[in-house]
Amino acid sequence: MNLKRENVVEAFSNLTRIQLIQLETCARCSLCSNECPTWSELRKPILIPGGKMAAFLKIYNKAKGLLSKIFRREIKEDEIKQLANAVYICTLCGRCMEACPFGIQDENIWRSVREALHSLEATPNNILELEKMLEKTYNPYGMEPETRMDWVDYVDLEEAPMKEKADILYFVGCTTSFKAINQEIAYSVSVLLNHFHENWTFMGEQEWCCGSPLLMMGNKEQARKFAEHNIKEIEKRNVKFVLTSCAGCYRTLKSEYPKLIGRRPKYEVIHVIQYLKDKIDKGTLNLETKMDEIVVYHDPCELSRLSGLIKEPREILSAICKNYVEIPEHGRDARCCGGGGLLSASDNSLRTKISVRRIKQAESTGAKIITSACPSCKMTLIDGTKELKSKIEILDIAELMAKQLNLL
Amino acid sequence: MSMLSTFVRYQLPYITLTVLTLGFIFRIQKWLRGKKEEKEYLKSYKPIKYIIKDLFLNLVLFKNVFKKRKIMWFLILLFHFSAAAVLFGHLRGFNVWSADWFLFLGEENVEFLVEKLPVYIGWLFTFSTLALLLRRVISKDVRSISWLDDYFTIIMVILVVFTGMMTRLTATAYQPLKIEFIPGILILSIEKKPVDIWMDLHFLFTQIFFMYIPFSKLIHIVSGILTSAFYSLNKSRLEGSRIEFEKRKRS
Repeated sequence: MNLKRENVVEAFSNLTRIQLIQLETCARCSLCSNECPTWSELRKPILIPGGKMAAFLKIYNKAKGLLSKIFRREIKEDEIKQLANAVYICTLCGRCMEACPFGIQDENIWRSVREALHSLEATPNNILELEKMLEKTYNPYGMEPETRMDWVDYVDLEEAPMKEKADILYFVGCTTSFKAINQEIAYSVSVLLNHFHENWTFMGEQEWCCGSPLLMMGNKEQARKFAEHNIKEIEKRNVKFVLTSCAGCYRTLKSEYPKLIGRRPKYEVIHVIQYLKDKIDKGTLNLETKMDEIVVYHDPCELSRLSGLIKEPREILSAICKNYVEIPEHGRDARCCGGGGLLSASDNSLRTKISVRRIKQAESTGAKIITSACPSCKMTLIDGTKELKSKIEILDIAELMAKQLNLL
Repeated sequence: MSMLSTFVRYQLPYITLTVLTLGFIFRIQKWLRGKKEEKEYLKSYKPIKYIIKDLFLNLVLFKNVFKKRKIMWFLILLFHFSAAAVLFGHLRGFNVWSADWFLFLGEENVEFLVEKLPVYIGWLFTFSTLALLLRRVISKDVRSISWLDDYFTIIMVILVVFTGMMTRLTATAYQPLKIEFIPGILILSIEKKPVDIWMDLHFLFTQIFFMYIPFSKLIHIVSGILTSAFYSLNKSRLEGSRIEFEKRKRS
C-alpha cells in the first residue's frame, strides 16, 4: 500500500464536487441498511451504506478536511484495509440510493472510492488477479482471446456473420461468450437477429471486454484502453447500432464510453430488450401462442435502476406470457441478485447467499421461470437455485422470446 | 442585567454570525475543491417542473422513506414539520410576519395560532426529537454507525427545544421586550417577557447550534437540497435518454 500523505490526498482528489456534497449530506440515519444485499446477509456495521460513508468520510477528513491543515493526522493502513474490504464487498446495485431520504448516489461514490483505493494499491488481491487476467487475455475469465467465438460451435449456430460493414453489431460480452450456461443467450439473440433479417455482424476475436470490471475495480486508465480499442473496431464497421444482451456491457458502452474517450461514439447502443420492444411496437412479432407458465422478471440493477430500462421488459413479457407476475421488490426497487460489483471475486459465498434470498422471493409468487436480461444475473440466480435445490428455471428474456418464436 | 444576558444577547450574536459565515465558506470551499463534473451530469432531459415535483416529493414529503418505512417516515415528517413550524413562528418575533395578517380568521383563532398552537407544536417537536435520540441509542444498526457528532447534534436540538418551551411556558404576563442582537439587522420583539434565565439559555444553545451547523452533519439542511436535486436530475437523465432513443427510432 502506498499511504504517503500526498498520495492519499492525490487519490481522493478524484471525487467530484457533487460526490463530496453527497458524502457530507449523509445523516447516518441507517435507513439504507435493510435495502443493502450484503449487509442483509452479513450484518456488519461497516457494510451499511451509511457506515461505509462514515468510514470513508473519516479518512477523507484526515487527508483533506479543515482540521487536516492544522493537525496532520496519520492515516493508518488498517483503516484503509477495512474501508477497502467494505467497499469491495458491495454489489454496486445502487439500491441504497432509493432508500436514502436525500437520494445519495452511493454506487457512483463507491466507484470513485474504488478508483482512489486502486491508486493507493489497496485493491484486494483477488480483484488484482482479475485485473491481470484482463490485461493478458482481454476478458475477466483468463480465457485465450482466440476462444472468444468458440461458443458458436458449442451451440451449433449456423450463421455467425463477420462482416466488414453492417447495420447492427452484436456485442456479445465476456460472460455470455465464455460461460457455458450463458451461451444460449448469444445463440438466442443471433437467431432472433436472423429471424428478423437484420444486416448484422459480430466483432469476433476483436471484441475485448467492455471494461466494466476494470471500472468497477477502479482502473479507469485500463478501461479507457479497452474502450478505445472496442470503439475503433466498432466504428470501422460503420454500424448504426451496437446491440448487447448484457446489462453491464450496455451501461458501460452507453454511459461510460463517452466519458472515457471524451466524445460520443458514432453509433447508438441498445439492449436486446429495446430491440425486442421495437419489434412488438412495429407489430412485426408474430406470436401464435403465449407461454402458460408463471414467469417473474428479475430487474438487473445496471439495466433498471441504473439505466432506466424498466418498462420495456414488462411490455415484452406481457406479449409473450399469459401469467407474468411481479416478484417482490422489483423495478426501481429491485433487490440485487448478488451478481454485480465483482462480488464473485471478492466473496463468492456471499454472492450465493444473496441470490438464494432472491430465489426464495421468486418462489413465493409460485413462478416456474425467473427471467432476466443479464448473463451475470442468470449465472448468479442459477447458482442460487443449485444452493437451494430449487426447481425454478432461469432463462434470459432473449431465450424466452426465441423459444416462443420456435427458434430454439 | 446578568453577565450571561449581556454576553448571549449583545456579544455572542456577532461571534455566531462570524463563525456561521466562515463555516459555510470553508465548507463550500471544501466542496468546490472536488473535480468538476461532466456537463452531461448536470443536464435535465425532462422539463424543470418534473425536477421540482420530484424534489418536493422527496425533500418535503420524504417519498423515498415512505416507500419503505412508514413509522420512520411519520417520525421524520413530524420532526421536520414541527421544526419548520417553530422556525416560522419565530419569524413573527423578527417582524417577518404579523398576527394581524390572520385577523380574517377571527380574534379567537388568531389567539390560538399565536398562544396555544406554538406550545402544542413545541411538544410535538420535543417528542419527535426524543424519539429520534432513543432510536439512535436503542437501535443496534443506527448506533453502530453513529458518531459523537450525531448524539451531540440531537442533544443540542433537545436543549434548544426544551429551553424554548420553558421560555414559552414562563412568559405569562404581557410585558413587551425588544432585544437588538445585531442593531438594524437582527431585532427580536416579544409581547410577553419570559423568565430571564430560560430566555438566555435558549439564546445560548440556539447560537451554539447555529455555529455548529457548517461543521457537522447539520450541513444536510443545505446540502440535502442539492443532493436531492442531483438525484432527481439523474432519474430524469435516465428516463430522458430512454425517451430520446424512442424519438430517434420513430424518426
